[in-house]
Amino acid sequence: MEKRTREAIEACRPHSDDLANPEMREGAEEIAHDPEARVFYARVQQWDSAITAAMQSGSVPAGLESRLLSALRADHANPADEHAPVAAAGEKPYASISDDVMTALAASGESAASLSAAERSYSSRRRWLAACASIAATIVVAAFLNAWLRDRSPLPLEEQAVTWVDQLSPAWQDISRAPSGFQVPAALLAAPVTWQWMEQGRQGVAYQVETAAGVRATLFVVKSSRTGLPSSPPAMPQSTTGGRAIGYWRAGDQICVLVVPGDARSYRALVNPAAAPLA
Amino acid sequence: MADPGPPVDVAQLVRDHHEVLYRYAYRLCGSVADAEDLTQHVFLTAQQKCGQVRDSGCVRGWLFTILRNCYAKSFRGRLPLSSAELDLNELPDGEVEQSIDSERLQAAINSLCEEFKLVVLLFYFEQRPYREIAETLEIPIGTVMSRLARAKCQLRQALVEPPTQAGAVALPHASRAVFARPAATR
Repeated sequence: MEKRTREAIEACRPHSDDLANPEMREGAEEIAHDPEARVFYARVQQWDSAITAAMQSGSVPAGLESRLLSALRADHANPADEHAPVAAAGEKPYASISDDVMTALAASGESAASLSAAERSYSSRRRWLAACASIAATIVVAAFLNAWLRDRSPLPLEEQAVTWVDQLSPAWQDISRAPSGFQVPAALLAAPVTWQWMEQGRQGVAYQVETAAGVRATLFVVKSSRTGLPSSPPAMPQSTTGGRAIGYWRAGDQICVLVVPGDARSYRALVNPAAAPLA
Repeated sequence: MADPGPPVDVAQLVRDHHEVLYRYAYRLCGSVADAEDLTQHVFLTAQQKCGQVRDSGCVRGWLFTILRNCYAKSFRGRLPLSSAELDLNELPDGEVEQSIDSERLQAAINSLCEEFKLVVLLFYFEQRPYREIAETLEIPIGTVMSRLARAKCQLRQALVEPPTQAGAVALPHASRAVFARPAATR
């Protein structure tokens, strides 16, 4: 008997008309004309009937239905985490669902329904607590970032001052209308003559100051908690580059940055380090 | 557009189909514990994906498909059992037993490699025609016929051979099957 015929016979389900299919024509003809093939087909069909019957028999564990329903309720109350790790080899992957439910049922005598409600309540509380914790953490992080960004300048003050100078508008305003809260230090040997808001919004003011001799400079007074600055105008500027002398110091809750055209000598003509910080 | 019909009640699915699904799972896994895990996994997956069901008449086939896919994932990566060289012309002598012992049949199924096992279960348990088996497993019809012939031959040989130990069931794998928990979709 040909291999193809044997395979065709084996592919026919018991008590079916599979033999009538086009692919089976060869096998069907051989069964019709070859007694050996006919016997083979009949015995294979007998075997298949017996195996099919046995295949679908077998006992089902007691209580399986209730365990499955409990697992479904538990899963519905606490859906699976998509990123939950897959159970390691050899572990029972659903022990945390079905076994826990069954253990709790056995211990407390509660019905599956009431346990499921308790699980739902616990799950709800847990989600609520997680949400509160997330909000609190967000507030703390935001506060920290706010303080950190406010205090932290990406540039040293010398470089920052150059940027501020470049950002100045030509539209200086009359000093009589200068805002309060941005005091010009008394240590300066120059008086403010005009002013304008800085680009940081209303956190800083730029003054044009002028000595009695008519030497002009620019003073920036900015609200800041930046630390590590001298508490009075330094006798010598911290920077003398680019044709500018720049000195800075802290005065109360603000920092003062004086930008004087020229060198250290020009700078010294505008400050009196021995004077009080504020006017 | 076809009427999707009433929503599927998964609890009702459990009541209607848990026995047949468990038996199918047991035939595939070869152990009570693994079969129960697999059955539970099938219904948990069904609970998450019951929106996919369009025709309530196809629910059992849909559950069988979930079961097969879960099982296929669980054995993926394992070394397949080698299939013995068989004389396909040979049928066991004597009368065919009309009542085959369930555990003996299970021992015979356990001796099959995974490829054979799936083909045999589709043929005997689901009673699918060879064309549908080919479509389901995405293999050619000729491959289905070849696998069926060899698998059935091996199965019959195992059924007529005396068991190595009384009541012993030769499990194909040393470790338990692990069925990955279905991902949440809600």
